[in-house]
Amino acid sequence: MILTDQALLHLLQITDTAFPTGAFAHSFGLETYVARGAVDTAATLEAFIANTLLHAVAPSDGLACIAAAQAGPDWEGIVQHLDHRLTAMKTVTEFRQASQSLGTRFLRTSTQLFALPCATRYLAAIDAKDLHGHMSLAYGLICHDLALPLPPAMSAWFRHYCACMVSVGVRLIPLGQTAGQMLLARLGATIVTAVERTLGQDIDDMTSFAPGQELAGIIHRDVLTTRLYIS
Amino acid sequence: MSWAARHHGYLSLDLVYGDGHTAIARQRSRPPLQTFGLQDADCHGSAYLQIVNPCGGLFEGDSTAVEVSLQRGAHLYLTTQAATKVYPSEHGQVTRQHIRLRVASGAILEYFPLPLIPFARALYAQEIEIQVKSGGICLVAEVLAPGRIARGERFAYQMVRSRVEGWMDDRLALFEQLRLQPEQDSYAGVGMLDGQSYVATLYVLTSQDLDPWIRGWNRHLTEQYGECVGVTALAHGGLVVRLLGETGQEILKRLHTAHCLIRQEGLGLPALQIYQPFE
Repeated sequence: MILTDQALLHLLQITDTAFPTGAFAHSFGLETYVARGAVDTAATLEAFIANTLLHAVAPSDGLACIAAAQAGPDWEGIVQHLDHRLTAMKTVTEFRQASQSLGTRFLRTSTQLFALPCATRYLAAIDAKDLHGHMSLAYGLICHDLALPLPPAMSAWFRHYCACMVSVGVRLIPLGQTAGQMLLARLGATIVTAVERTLGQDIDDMTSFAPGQELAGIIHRDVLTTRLYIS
Repeated sequence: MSWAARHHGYLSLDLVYGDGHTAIARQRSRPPLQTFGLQDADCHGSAYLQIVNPCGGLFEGDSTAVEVSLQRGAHLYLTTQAATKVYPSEHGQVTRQHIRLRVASGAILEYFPLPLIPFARALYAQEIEIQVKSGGICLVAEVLAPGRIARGERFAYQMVRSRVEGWMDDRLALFEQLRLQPEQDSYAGVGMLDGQSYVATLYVLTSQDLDPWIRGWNRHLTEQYGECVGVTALAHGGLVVRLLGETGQEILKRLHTAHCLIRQEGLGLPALQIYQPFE
């Protein structure tokens, strides 16, 4: 599938960090690491983002997103199955709630902008409380509805994750804007690796291994006394 | 071919409760898997049982299966006699272990195997299926060592894959899957093991509401052990405890502390009176 000019414009819009999903308010455990002093430079921030992308986001949410985007006529069954699996897989309360809140807001805004038949039905199932609503499935279905080619769509989404986390790091550590952009440029290779690893894999291969990040998410909710971010 | 026939070693246990004791109603096994005779764990009707593998470990291509069912009222603390040592796979064959746990309403199963130690070049895949009926309780622990540290082996295995699927009645409550390939990736860094060597998880599946306890437990555990232990609630009941540690003794002690808190404060069970390997 070729990335047409129209598809490129759609992709740029829905993966813009200014797209109103609320992603800017989440640190996914990064705030705990900064508070602890374990992430205090561009290098340690890069390690956190690269590790969590490669070992948690890409092999779990990434595979779910691809499955939703590639689903055929039985897409509802696949999305229903993955919606329950992601809910059971996201054991950290703040991360699970973040995925649901971002996914639902992403669907609500996107369905006002474009004709998205599958995404609209997913949103209806979430509103009816039949399903939980996860960001990765929302993004996958919107890619499906807009006929966006998967490799660039996955690169754009993983880049969106990196950009959001860099933005959190720039504000919390703090780092300069140029240092943040240099870091984002360096993460390009990791994003390409993450896309290569996820394409062609099956949902049975869904994995996640970032115990440090999960502990940071738990500590963030229950122990950290000062918090600027929701997660 | 039946589930049991697909595996080399097989152990199947059905436990019931009667006359104030938990007892084995039926046991079937195929070598090398055996058990040490059932003992009373306390005076409240719970029992203690060890799974024994006299081979001293799992070898390349081995496939073993353990199936445990608890009927109403039964309460079992199930462990292994020793750590599960996974020997090297020199010909690319995966060593497999499959565990099925079924807990009826009113029954309690605590499955606490000693750590898994994947030797250098080991290729290991494990699946744990947990089925808990409403009113039942199942606690399952997993401790993963980095290898034979005394021999200088740390993360020298080819692969460890672990999948845990937990169901409360007909609802998927827990799904975990990891695949570690240290030759391809490093897991030591920030967000991962944070420089620690051991990782452990305790899964608790129950319909009891444990949410009100969690924040207090996390504050207590963090005060005691730093940010290496954390408890989190699952979406539909039950919880997960994540643990990191530098040594086997350290992580087992942390696991025991978390276990005791959940057991006594959350589930209202009497204190555990069982020998712990770090003591």
